[in-house]
Amino acid sequence: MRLRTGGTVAEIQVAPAAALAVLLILLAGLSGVLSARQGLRIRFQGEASRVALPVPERADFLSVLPDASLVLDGEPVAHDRLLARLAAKLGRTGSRPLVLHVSDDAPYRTMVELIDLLSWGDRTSGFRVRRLLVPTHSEIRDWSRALGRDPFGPQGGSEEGDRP
Amino acid sequence: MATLGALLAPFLLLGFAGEADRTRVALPESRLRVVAPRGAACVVIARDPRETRPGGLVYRFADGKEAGRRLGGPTDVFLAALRVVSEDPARPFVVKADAGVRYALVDDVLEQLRKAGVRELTLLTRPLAEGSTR
Repeated sequence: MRLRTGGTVAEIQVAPAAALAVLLILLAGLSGVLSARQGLRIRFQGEASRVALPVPERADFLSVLPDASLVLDGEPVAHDRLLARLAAKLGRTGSRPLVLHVSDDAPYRTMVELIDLLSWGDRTSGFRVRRLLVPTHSEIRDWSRALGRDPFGPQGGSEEGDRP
Repeated sequence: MATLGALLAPFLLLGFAGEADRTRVALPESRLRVVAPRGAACVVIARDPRETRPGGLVYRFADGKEAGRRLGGPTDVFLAALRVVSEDPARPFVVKADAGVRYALVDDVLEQLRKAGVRELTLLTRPLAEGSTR
């Protein structure tokens, strides 16, 4: 058999394949972005067996009560006044550490909202807390025991058990 | 069209491969959202859909490589995290917790992760809803 190919030029249409490749790359990128998990980053301080918290006199203390109301250094503070009060206490640079304690019975969302408020403050009020510490309750217990008092009490110096 | 579907499927699967645990959880909202590292181990604290009384929870754990599994409670989270950290001390973790659970339950898990030697974790959130006044 003799194949007659004279005069025929074979062509492969590459334009649709290139367009498809671009589409696939865009889809891969898009799905990667959409599926990325996002949230608030937390770093544990110190080693697992050791509590690394500041000297109470060099820090401020913010407690969240079960009803989501706030107590700053033993005094109640409204949510909308919190950043202004903190700016006065921590200085405009916000470099003094703020230690946060959330009550057992407060909903978890309260803690997230508060961290968000304190971290996002510079975009709303020009002030943001730069050193926010969120020790676990076990760390706070060990810390209170070591200090011999409850740092979250009035003036950071009440006797243990006074914490609301 | 079938060929196109077959071509797209691996790309879509690749895109969602980072999601180690697909348990549906009502995450808390936040404006500040940092992308969690890929391959992070994941701890889930979710409401148990089969539980009628309030407070019924499900704990799940995924090491970032294999499918997630159900755990009995925070002590199991400690053991599972310890196993991961002993292999890779720098492995990041994510916590995917229901916004409405008591903070004590989340705190308990955070404490177990800290004790296991976890250095860094991301509390997963969803974007702030449109029109939220928070």
